[in-house]
Amino acid sequence: MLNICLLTVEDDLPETIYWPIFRELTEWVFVRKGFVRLFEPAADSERWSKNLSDWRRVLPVLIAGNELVFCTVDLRIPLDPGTEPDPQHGLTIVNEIKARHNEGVRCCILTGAASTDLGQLFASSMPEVLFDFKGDAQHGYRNIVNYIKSQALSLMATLNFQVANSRPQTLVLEEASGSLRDQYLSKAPYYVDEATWHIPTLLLGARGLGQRALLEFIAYLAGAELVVVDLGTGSNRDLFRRLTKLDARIDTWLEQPADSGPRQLIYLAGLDEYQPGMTGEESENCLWPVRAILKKIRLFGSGQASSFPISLVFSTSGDSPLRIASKDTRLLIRDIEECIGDMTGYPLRYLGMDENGWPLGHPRILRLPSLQERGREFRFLVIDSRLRHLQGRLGKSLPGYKGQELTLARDVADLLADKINWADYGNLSGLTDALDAAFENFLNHRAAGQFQITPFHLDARLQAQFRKFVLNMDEVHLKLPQADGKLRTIIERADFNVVEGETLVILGPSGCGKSTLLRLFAGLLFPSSGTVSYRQSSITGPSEKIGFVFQSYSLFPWLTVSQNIAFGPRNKGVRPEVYWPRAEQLLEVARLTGLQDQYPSRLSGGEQQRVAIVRTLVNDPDVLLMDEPFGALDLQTRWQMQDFLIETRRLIEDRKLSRKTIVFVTHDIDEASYVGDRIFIASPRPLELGAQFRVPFSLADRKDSLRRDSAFAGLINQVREALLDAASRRNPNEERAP
Amino acid sequence: MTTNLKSTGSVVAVFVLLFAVWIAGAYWSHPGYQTHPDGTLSLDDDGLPKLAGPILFPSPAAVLQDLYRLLVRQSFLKDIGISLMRIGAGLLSSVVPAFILGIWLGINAFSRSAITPLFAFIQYIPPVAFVPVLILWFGIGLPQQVALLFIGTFFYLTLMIADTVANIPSAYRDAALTLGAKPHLLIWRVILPFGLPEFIQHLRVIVGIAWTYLTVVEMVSAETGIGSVIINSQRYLQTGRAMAGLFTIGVLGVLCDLALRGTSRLLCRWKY
Repeated sequence: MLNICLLTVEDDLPETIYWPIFRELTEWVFVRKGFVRLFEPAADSERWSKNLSDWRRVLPVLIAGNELVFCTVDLRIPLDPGTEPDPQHGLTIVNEIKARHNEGVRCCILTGAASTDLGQLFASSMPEVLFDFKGDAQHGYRNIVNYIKSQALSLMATLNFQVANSRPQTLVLEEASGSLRDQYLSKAPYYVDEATWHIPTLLLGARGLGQRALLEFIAYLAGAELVVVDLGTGSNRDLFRRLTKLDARIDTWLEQPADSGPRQLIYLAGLDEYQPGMTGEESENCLWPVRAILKKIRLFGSGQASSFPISLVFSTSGDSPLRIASKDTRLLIRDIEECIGDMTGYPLRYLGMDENGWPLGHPRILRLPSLQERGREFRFLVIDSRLRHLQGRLGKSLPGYKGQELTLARDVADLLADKINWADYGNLSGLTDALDAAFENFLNHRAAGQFQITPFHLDARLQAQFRKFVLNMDEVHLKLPQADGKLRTIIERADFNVVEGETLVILGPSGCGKSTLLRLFAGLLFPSSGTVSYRQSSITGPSEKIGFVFQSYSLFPWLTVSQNIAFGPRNKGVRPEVYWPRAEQLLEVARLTGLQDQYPSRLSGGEQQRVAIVRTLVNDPDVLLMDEPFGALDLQTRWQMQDFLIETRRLIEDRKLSRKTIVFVTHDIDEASYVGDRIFIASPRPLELGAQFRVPFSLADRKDSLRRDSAFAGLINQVREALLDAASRRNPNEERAP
Repeated sequence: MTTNLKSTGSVVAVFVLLFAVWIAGAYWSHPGYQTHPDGTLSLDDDGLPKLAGPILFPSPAAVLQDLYRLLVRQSFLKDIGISLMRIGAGLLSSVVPAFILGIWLGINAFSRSAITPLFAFIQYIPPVAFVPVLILWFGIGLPQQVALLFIGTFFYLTLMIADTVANIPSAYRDAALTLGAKPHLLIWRVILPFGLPEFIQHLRVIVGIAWTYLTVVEMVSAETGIGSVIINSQRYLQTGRAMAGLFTIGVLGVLCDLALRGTSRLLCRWKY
């Protein structure tokens, strides 16, 4: 069991520091996110003061059973309504935690407050681990995260845990080394993606989208005994038999002492046959078993408030948000919610409700996106994974197969991904059969000579090499008609690759045609000769995989900030509940929270450009093209924006999210050296790419002090010389465009 | 707030001043009354003094009196309704095609360069000059009136809309495209929302122009409508009635303008 809870004094730890910690940990282990949200006084001050008298009830729940405690409570908060805030009040909470310390709360993290009285108190009462942010406030959180990870790993190493998964492959996590997340993703890639990684209590979605696998994984992390209650539907008699069996098991759990018993996890999947519009007896047949179980759980859950972490997975059949939103389903969810509330000692009535009776801003509900919604990349993942699964079985029977790793070429996978009508499969269980049949057919056809097997189709290494290049320009030459009607060469010759995850800077004087290069990548322009390609297929037009941040403020002035951000997802028909959590996160990173409803004209230049970047990032593009994005800002804002860009990249790197490849165009040498991994010098009109520099600084190096570093100054001098050199090589008498 | 008050104050002051000039002018230009040789006033059948000549510049009270008589006794409301119907039909016939054509011209540079000279040519012929031809073609009646309003507004509006659309910064188009907008949806997602305030502005101009041509056409070739009431009043030397007609047109024009400005404020919050 490892639930983590951090306790901080909010005043001393700005959001920008504790949120990265928190995010990282939620990705990594099961954190009771719901509670942290409830206790964020800054955001929920109203609710906090309203329920102030309840903190005493909730705090023990927070602490109990947690090795680490994290909670963004201002310890000086008044203890009772009407009383004045006083540091002394923190003592009460501290004592509460100290009492639990003896019960196994392993460590408490204190940040930034070591100098205060409260900090001293913490330091003396819990000397095990004390982190002080004073020294390195920016990066100190890494220490904490590393510490927690090591603690968790040592804990898990003692559990030799195996979870057998019946469908469709076996999930075996033999050892707790390396990144657990990576292991899990590689074993069950199409169950879990980034969006589902924040593990909530209640998962909603069509059947077969991975709730169960996810839950099993949670169970593994939580060291829980897994109880699967798959009621399904059938005859009432059948159901009743299963119910009584479960009843008996629940009774045996009840007999165990509250504190020492195993943590239980319940999987409810009773709504498989549930259809929208069902009424009367039909609907009752679907719902009653679930209701009965809930009643039972509630019965034995009450009175054990602090020791019963519970996760419920609730699934409906088919891929239909309609069903999830239907009234009956909603009522059922409310039942479940109430049940959870009763058992956690934090009843539902403390959560706000919207007019439909949905819990407002409830962090414990997550809707798993359907296959269709998860997009193309995800489909390739499914195809890849199935293929690997079938390799052993099919490989041997294929003529000409010599034991290489069987990988489909991109175009073949493309073909398959398009052949299948994904909307037909709301879930994976039906799909895998169809997919297997398709593969077998395809491979047999290919083996029979109807398709030629080239080495390229089978050599995984060759493919990997190609896959590394995200963008490439091959002998590109561009002529464009000018105002006087004559054709003029804009790009003499461009021939280069952009590697996955890097930031390539193209540096040249204003008006030298470097923006035109970006427009070629964006599919807004096409070369006169040569090819421009994205992941080995030539670019035929704009795509949301390739995001563009423009030089001038290109925010749509008639839309508010949030509407601007929603522009891209709405084009794809993505529903707000899918993109909005992500957008909110990005807004927070960009320090734009609270400006959602402003029109762009009310924002400063820096804010506008940050919105533009968020607007592009919310589409989750693979590539980010940035055309002098900070050119119109004053120097100080520009520095801030550069730091923001670096910070965003660092977050992406730290969290191992899908890496963004960036092509950045600028005329500012300092900016190029600060932001880029690789710099190309562009000589002016017609554009030609000349000298290339590799920037030797790591992401962690790039902070404000680097700007004063002598190594940095050296690089800038080198680049400047190359730039002057490139300019002088052109004929100085050549007519320049005004 | 204070500037607001100030400007309201100055508007009121200007109105009061004009009103005073009007009253003074009416007083000064009053023709006086007929007198008998003995100096007493000669009275008409109703027992009221007879005027020495026609009133050419009636006082506000007289204008209001005439307006009241027009409304109550002479079915002026029907005339107003007919005029509004005509202007509505005329605007509908020109605004809808002008929008479609204007947006198309704004998007398509080639057709813009092909069609704009022709439109400019037509635009320079005073629409009133078309009246005789239109009477020959359509006779006297609604089709002819609508046709004049169409000629008077369509070409002008089309060119203005085309200009607005053509001047939408290409950055918005590029941004929308790179954010995954389908090219054929750009009209809905970029051109219309961005152009809307200017389109409404154009409409305000066009409504003013339409009133001009409506009045002209009603004076020349109609038996009903505000314009014909005005021209008939001139025939019978009823200046008060003519001015009441002018006054009505002014009020209707201001109401139209206010409605359009209100719409603009409602739909384009980002502009304000």
